Amino acid sequence: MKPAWRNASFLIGISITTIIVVTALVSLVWTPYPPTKIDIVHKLAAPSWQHWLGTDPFGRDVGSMIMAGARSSLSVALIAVLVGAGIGIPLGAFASAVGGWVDSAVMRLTDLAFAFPALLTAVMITALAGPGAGNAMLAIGIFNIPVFARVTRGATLAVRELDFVMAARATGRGEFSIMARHVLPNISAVLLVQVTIQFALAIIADAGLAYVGLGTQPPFPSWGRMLNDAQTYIFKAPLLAVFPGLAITSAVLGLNLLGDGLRDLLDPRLSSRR
Amino acid sequence: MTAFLIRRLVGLVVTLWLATVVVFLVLQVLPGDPAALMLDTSARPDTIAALRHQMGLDRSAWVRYGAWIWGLVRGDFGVSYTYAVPVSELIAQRVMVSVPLAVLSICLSTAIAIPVGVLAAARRGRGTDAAIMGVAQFGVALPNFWLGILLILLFAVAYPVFPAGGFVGWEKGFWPALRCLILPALSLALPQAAILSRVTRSAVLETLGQDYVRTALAKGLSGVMALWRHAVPNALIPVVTIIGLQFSFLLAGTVIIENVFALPGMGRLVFQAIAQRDLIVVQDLVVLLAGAVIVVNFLVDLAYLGLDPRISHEGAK
Repeated sequence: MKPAWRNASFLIGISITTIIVVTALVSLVWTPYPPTKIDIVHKLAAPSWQHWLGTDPFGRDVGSMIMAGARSSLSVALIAVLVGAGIGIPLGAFASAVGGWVDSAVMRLTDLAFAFPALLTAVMITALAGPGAGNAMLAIGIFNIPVFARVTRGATLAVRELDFVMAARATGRGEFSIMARHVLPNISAVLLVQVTIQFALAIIADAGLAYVGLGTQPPFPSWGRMLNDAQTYIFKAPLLAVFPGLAITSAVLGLNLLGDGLRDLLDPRLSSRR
Repeated sequence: MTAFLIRRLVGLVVTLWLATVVVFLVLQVLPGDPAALMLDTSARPDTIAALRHQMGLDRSAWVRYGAWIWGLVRGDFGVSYTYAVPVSELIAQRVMVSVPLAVLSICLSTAIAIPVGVLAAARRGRGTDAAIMGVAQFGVALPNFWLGILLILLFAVAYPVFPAGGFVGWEKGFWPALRCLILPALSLALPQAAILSRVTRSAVLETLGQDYVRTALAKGLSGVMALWRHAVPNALIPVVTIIGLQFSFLLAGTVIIENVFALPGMGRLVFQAIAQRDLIVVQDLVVLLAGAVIVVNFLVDLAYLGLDPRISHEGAK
């Protein structure tokens, strides 16, 4: 195994991800300006020493808004992935341990879930249940459930045929106990990689929902909402449309690279670069 | 073979039916009374009750579901609460925007991704490969609606060659209408192309390592011929699978992209219908879009038969 510090994807990915997580955490205690502070005199200011990324049509500091936006984006994505993994992984493990018609039924259900364009249904759920960060987390989380169920089932099926599982079975352990003690720990690498992928997708979905006004609600800043606001001023202040998008793209890029790196490091058999 | 087709067709119908159940149930559970929403907040309870009766909302959920499904089977999508016109008419207008947009995006993404992915595989490990995969890595991370805004900045604000949004309608002629769809289609296609080119690259690398490619080279076939005649056709199965899967992403993507470019397509219609609690329109549209995904995945399964003669499904459970 190559050491972690020799894997470029992992290094770049973990660096970007760390920067974004730290930014989100720092925004809890400090931002250059209060992110919701309106200052009409200095509206639509170009980037300067006072306002590094300029100000928006209300004179709010774009840099501060992006810092606070990282917090809302990461928290929505985190909860969405926790919901998906928290229900999907046990569901997939259960289906594979029990087998038979239960397994088929769970798999048909995931097939059915994949038939619904995820973002469209998330739009429907958040719009009808009420826009906001909480419903966005749930709506995105629901579509993570079948993904985690599928991946878990597929990975456990392979591991369950291995000798050490046979040995555990021979000692008289029950299927569920074997699943928890022997099988799941062995597929943690696969699951961890999946978590980074879903995290990245959740950030895009959250930004999409916020863009159409269904995610985190104003005045609390969100990257998607900032893009929507920026579009109105696209002729006057084109830069406003650039920074929030860069933030989303770097967060997603960082997580994707981290996922690729983890895959290479943890499970060379799954490596995409041969 | 026939048995396989029949089994798949039955599965298709069952999935479509389950999709209608799910959509109906979700809309039952979510809050919001369409009748109350259509009227003013000051409407008296008996007025709301009268409207509920007129809209058929006071019937039991079973009856309403039955009536809806029976209508769908006969091709009757019901009547929109807010527009008071048949939903099929509303959808027919919007389809003329959304379907060309989706088809254009799939074509663009495939036309870009396959040559680029094959090129990267052929130049594996060299500068070209690294450059293509670097760009693709970045492309995968691009949210399509931001790409849309960037394209507007570039091609509608800085160099105004395309409109920043809106749709002139096909009656204004083919090219003027198509011009309105180019930027939205590109925004949808480029991130998809990034994913697809990565899949193409690894699928072609896989087949390039196979014995039959070595045989082809050994019998004197040039590298380019071996690549296009033997490696690429055999790499198409995973590529077609991903194109099929991307169809679902694309449909969802149009919902946001149609908002970015103010296109009067099905995505915009979903939004308006949700905002006005025009539940019958929401129900029909979501089932229609889910149905489209289910049918496309079915067709992808059938495409395997054509692509790989080894897959006969005779022995499949």
